[in-house]
Amino acid sequence: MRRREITASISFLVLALVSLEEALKLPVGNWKVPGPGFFPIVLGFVVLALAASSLGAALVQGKTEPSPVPLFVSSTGKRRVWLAVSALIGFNLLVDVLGFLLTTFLFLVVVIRLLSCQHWKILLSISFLLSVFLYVLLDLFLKLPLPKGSIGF
Amino acid sequence: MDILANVMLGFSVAIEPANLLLCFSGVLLGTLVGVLPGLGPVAAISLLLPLTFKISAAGAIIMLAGIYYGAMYGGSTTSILMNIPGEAASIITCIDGYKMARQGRAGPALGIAAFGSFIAGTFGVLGLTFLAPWLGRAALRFGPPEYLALMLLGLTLVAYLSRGSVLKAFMMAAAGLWVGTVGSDPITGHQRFSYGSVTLMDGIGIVPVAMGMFGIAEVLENIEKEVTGEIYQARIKGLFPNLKDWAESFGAIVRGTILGFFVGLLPGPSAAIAAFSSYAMEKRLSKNPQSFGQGAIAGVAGPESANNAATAGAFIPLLSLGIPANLVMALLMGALMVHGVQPGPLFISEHPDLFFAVITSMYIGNIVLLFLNLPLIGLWVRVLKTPYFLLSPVVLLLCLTGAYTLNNNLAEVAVMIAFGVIGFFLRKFAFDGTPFLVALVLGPTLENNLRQSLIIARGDLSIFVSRPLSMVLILAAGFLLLDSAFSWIRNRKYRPVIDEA
Repeated sequence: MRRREITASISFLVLALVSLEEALKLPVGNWKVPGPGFFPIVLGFVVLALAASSLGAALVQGKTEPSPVPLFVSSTGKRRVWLAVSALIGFNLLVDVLGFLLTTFLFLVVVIRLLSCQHWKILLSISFLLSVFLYVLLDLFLKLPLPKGSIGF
Repeated sequence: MDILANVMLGFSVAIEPANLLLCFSGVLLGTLVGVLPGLGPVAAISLLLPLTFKISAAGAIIMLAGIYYGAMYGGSTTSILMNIPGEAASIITCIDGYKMARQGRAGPALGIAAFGSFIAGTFGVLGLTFLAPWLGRAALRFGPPEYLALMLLGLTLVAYLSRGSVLKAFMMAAAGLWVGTVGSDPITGHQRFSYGSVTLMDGIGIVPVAMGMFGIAEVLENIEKEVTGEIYQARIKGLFPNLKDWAESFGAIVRGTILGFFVGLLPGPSAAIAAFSSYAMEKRLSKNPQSFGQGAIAGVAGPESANNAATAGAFIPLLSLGIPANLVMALLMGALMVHGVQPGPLFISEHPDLFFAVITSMYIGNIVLLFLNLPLIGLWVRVLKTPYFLLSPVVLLLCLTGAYTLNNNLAEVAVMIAFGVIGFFLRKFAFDGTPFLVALVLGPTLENNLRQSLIIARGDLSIFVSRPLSMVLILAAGFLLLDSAFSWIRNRKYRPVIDEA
């Protein structure tokens, strides 16, 4: 936990320093007429102070934990999470090219396969039916403007 | 009589067939999502919010309000039948509710939760009807310094009462305020932190952030841990509590209603605080306190009434002051702003039809909730059994679709995914996302009021303490900050927000 506290504090410190560096490029104005940079600079210093306090507390705490607690509950869980995130990113990259229906089908195949050990025939059937259902519900029934891609749906 | 006339006006809008259908749909969809393990009202609203973009502002808030209390009730169902709370306010229901289910009394537990929620919700909406317009009129006297002070107090309270470390909560609040500065400066139009990106020029939207941090992150967490629960398997019967159940619950419902309504006015996780406080109060007042934790029906009736009353109470600062008291209200505020409606003191005077339509729809929604959910218990139990490998990808797809349909922009989807990953890791590092999102919602208005105050006072900071109301609010916020600082220095360890009852 101490390592996590230090990592989190440093992340916030970096965020504060980056925001201060960018904010100082903006017109700050003065107390009578604050400019666009005024509030971000104030916030930058607030985050800096809080993150520095958190870092100081974590460093002063010392090495009290007998063994570090892993960030993920298991290696399987970690793998599932990263694959799910990759599937999300893949969906975002492909949907404009392949269209909603096909991309949804591929997404479902990947994620359902990730989460269960279904036989391929069942997996493809479930993915196909679900993607058609979602397409009918969201595009045809609710008329949400979904990406069509190069195949038109 | 003026209020009566406005209530009749509100009914005339709320009972329009389209709005009735939206109320019904909201309650049904909210309960459906709320029943799903691992998803609560925040996820429900985040997921279903994009469905409201194509309808009127009145219809949107009617539907979203229905989704909110539908999801709260759905969360109770999961607590009682699966011992998995849908959200913080349902944690306490697990204790006695699930025990009752194990004793073959799931029906009365679900029934008293529904009736208690209905009674408390109805009285809560009555309170909202009379208190909100009064508070809105009082708030018309607020100037920029008072607004700034009120927002600072609200934000401080949300951070003070959030889960985990207070220091981390304040870091999240400050970070949320900073993220709110991305985009055009509200006064000069100067671009800030947009780096030439067209998407960032409009600022970072509340909806993709909310869907990411509370929808995507929740699902990722459930995917990692493989959320499952043992579902109460026996047939549920006898949904109507008997006379003995009513005798044991009636006092708890009344006390929970009053407690919950006033707690709901306060910023912070009011529904959860109300539920926990009600449980503690009932246990203390009970002639048989050792029955609590063993299936005491008052342990379900009181908290469920309190959290529903708090739900109604939380609408008051949102609609009359434009201050979201908690995360769900922040989402609702974001939804209203998407529809071009700014909640606040002028909201009631400029949009009385909308305000009273929302209130009257809440009356109707409470009735719909009661008559819809009890007969459909069997359906919700079947929904509960949906395998998670089917549920998670559908939820993720709804999030992806929702983020895209905001502005037909894939960049918004990217923002949502990014905040989903950030939100997932923030949970790992024990950071609560609530102060971040509330700050993101309040940030632009807070900055506006700060700069206007300084312009009015020509840079003299004493404006915030020379005006009585502003001074009181600033002092209250300052007191909380000092208390937080001293607590942190003294403890420097995890401080849970709710002590065990």
